[in-house]
Amino acid sequence: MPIQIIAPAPFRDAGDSDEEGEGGVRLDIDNDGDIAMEGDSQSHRKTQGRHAGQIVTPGELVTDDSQWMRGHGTYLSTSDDGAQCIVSSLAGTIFKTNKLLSIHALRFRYVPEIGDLVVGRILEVQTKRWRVDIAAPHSATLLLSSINLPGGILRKRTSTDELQIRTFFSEGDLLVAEVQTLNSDGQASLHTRSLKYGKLRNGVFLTVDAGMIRRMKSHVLTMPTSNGGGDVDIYLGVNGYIWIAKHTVSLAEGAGSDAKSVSITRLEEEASEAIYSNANEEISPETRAEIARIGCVVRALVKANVKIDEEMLNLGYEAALEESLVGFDWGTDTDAGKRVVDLALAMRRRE
Amino acid sequence: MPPPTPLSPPELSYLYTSLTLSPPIRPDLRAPSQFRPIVAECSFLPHCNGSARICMAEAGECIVGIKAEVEKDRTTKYATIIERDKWIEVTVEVAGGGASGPGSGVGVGGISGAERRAVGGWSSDIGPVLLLTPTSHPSPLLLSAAANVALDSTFLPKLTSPHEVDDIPAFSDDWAISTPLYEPATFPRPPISLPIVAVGDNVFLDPSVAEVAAAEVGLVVTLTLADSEGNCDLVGVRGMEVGRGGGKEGERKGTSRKLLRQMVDACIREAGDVIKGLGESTRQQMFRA
Repeated sequence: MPIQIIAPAPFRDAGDSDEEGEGGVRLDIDNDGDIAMEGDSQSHRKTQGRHAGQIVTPGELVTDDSQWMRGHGTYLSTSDDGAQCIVSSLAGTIFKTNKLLSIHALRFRYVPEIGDLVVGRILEVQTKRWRVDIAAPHSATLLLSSINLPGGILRKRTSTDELQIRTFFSEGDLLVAEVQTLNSDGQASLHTRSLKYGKLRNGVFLTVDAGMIRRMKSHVLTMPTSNGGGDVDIYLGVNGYIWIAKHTVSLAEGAGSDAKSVSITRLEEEASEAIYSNANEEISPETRAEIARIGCVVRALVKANVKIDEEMLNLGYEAALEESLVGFDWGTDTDAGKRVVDLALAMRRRE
Repeated sequence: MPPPTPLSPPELSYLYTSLTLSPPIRPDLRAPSQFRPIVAECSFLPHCNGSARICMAEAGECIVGIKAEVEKDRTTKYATIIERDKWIEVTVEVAGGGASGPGSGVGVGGISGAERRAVGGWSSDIGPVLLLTPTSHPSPLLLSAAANVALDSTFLPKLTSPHEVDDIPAFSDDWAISTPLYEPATFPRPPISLPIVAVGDNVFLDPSVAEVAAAEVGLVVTLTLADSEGNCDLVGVRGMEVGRGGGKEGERKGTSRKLLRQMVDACIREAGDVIKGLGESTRQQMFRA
């Protein structure tokens, strides 16, 4: 069967499914323990208030009880009868902290923070800077002065560099960078002033929801793979952009082994020209297959709502290998992802 | 929304090389003729004769409603001529699709002629329908699958006024005695458009957006089920906008007849299962109550 056709999932009340999750606490506004039943009129529900953990939509009344304070994701409004009420400005779940009501959005954009490792794509080239898409509400900027320029890391920026700005990064290029500063709007300014950062090559790009990446000590993982795939680098951008590529010896490491033949300054020159190259290395089909397998594991984890970190990725990859030994195929078996995630979660529990 | 940014050169060359390998490696490890799963629902709009909702990865969601309209038959002499009046009006609404969204520029038309259902002086025509979906990815499969399911689930109310009366006909309110637009187990079935791309010598059905960017040739092949064996008739073949493949910007390689033939053959081979699968799921949903 070349295609799988899924019937739509039956309708489920959002209030039920979230019961065991983060919610489950009732606001109990009138403290009478009465539960709002399905089919209750809107006016009745108003006085009843909403449950913590319940899903609300923008513009929906959360409560008109004056004992609550409004938190993030809500605003104050006046209801029809003139009373002050708290209204949701997001689609998400209600959270209460003592008397503070806030809404946690179901889906949200990445909010940059200083020091975050992000993967970005160049949107626009300007005179002295690039505009970079990092999946945040504002696109980030990358100044020409915050990249490594060819011919020595500590070289001063010149007007020649400004003229040939496109030789470093041009539209559509992918790069890994760190958030250097934030301005008052929350707009990020990036830098790539380390040999760890820079242009991305030799791999595939995929995006997940920003909330699905767990913050870790290091967001650049090197994973040994089976089936002759060699090592694979995974750049897990905090912004939900992921780059999976063949492992390359980082320039800093390479300097150690080659130092006898080339002087340090010479090497820097050579290395700097290479960091903006657009050519991929030779990548074997085995490595490509393993890179694709890791990509599938990431997508499967995200689909199953499992946050991605180093441990889950390793377990997921291990599970995918085990499953592939039993002779399953990502391509034809659409339940494969679910089986892999279940197996990985079982492995984590065992540990 | 900013316009979609192109893939970076290393990304494109990686993808292109992976897809030209033998066997090819697709980014999601699908087999070349494997489709991504779709969610299909039908007959849920109360004011339509037939309706469908399709959800697909990348393309999003599409809702199609079909309303049958009765009109005076003026073309008894030129029944085979395509007339705007004779087309089946299919309203296509794509969620999130603005002026540049995935559904922009959709036209759905029908080639009249194969079958005519004369109702006195009134007629409603259904022939093999050619869906004119936009040729940019990923709309063709989404929209054609939605129209396919909607047409398959369309029921026309029974005529209650006597025949041969040159007056506005009256129809029964009882949907239990309505007749399906496409009688079950009759052929041809509603058609479907399958997107297919070629990269090197390999052909890929249901390409992802990135695969289209790395492709050299793209076709949208419209097919209809010809018999219960799963054989398909070709209704139309149109080109699809693709990226620049392995070549340089603005440089495009030609293609061989053999490769085009291979692409159309691959569609014909798989379309039977796709249309039958959609029909099966439609029938299950129509008669689940």
